[in-house]
Amino acid sequence: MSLKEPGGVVAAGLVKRFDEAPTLGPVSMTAAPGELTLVTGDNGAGKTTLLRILATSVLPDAGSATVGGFDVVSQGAQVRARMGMALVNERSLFWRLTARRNLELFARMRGLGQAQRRSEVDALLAELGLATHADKPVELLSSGQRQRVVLARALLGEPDVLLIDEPLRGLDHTATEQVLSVLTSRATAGAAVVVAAPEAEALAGVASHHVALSPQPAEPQPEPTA
Amino acid sequence: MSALRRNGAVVGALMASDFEVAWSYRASFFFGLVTPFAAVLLFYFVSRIIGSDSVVGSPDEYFQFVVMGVALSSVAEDAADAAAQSARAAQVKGTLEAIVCQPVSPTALAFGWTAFPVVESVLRAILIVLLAIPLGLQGTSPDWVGVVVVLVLSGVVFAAVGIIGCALVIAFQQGAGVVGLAMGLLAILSGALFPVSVFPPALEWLSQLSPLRYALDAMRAVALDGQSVADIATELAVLTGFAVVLLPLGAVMISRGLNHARRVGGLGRF
Repeated sequence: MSLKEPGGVVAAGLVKRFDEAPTLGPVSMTAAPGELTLVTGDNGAGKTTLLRILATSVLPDAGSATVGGFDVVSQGAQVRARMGMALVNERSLFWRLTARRNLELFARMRGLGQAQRRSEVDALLAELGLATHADKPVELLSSGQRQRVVLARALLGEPDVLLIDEPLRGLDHTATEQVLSVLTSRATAGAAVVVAAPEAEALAGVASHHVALSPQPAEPQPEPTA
Repeated sequence: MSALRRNGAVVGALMASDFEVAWSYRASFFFGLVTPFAAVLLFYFVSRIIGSDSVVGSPDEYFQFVVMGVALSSVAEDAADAAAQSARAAQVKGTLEAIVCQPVSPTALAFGWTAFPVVESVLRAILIVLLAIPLGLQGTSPDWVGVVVVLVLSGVVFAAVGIIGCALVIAFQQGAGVVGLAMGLLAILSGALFPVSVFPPALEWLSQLSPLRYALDAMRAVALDGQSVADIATELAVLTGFAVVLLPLGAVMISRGLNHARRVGGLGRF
């Protein structure tokens, strides 16, 4: 049997519970290379947990998944080399460093050489409308600008699979257009782009595939005792 | 890119970013570097109250003994404590999950977190020695090769201890201060401030289990007594033994710590 499965994302029966509370699943889905797959669901349906499992940040309790052809549990290192993740977490940036230095730091961690690092960071900053803010410390950026820096970080090294959580949250019209353009261009270029959002809204027009997560059942309440 | 170069790039990247963050707090950065001045003065005056026939010799001999002890043990403490403190800071600030989802080896990550604090600590140790020279620190001519060998080997041993502490912090989101506390006790037990010969026999025996004791003995021999690398072969062999055991143990533990955090969803929490 080949160690490498087909690219994109293939998940089957993924289940996760935290502290005995059901958080995700079972979920099965595919996200093909060259497509933008939209994952929707109410708050608590497990969208972010699904992305975290695919990004190898959380291990599933049951089920299996491959990202870029590699198993998320047994081949985590290979998955991380082929995947870029952007969760809704501005705090994941180094706030005392500039936007550019944040991207350069993570570009070095991804193994990009100096020339590639510089050109890619410059291009991403321009593409996401951050060029004029590139040399400001992240702590001085607005929330929407930080969110775009987080997205730019996920795009470093041109990963085969992009896992993006709520990319449009809090963005103005121009930034929304920029982000949608970036996501569709990556899908067009052949990446498997998985985007999670509570509502389809603006993303529905650019998504080629849609996965709806069901709300997790409430915890059973203990029977009252007489 | 080879794995070694790749890991080196990760260590360099984290060291550079740690420096930039530290440099962005200029006052704190400079105050951190000048704090050794107080320690040197303190031990200089303590040495003046020691009689000439004491177990450590003359006041000047004790001053030399303790300056070298403080300098090296502070480097060892920082090497052992840095990764755990950095991991905890990354948890609290929220950067941990983004970092460990990059294609970096956990051990390279821990060394990267250790690199800048150790460089800073070595600078402080050099400053301690330089400040102590006009106050009476004068060894025979130091064996500089020996000094570097002891410093590097000690750094590796205590960084490995730090990786183990880092693994526990990543897994359980607490305990960052335990390594520092343990290293403080170890410094006393190992003879950083006074010779282990003043201990009761049981404690003196216990000190033989501490890698810091061998590091201190070796450093004093090459820096103060003018001995060569060949003269400290036993100490270097013991330190190498600690490194051979602790480095793979640290590598295994940090991988397990990360796996535990992934299982319980701890990478995104603090």
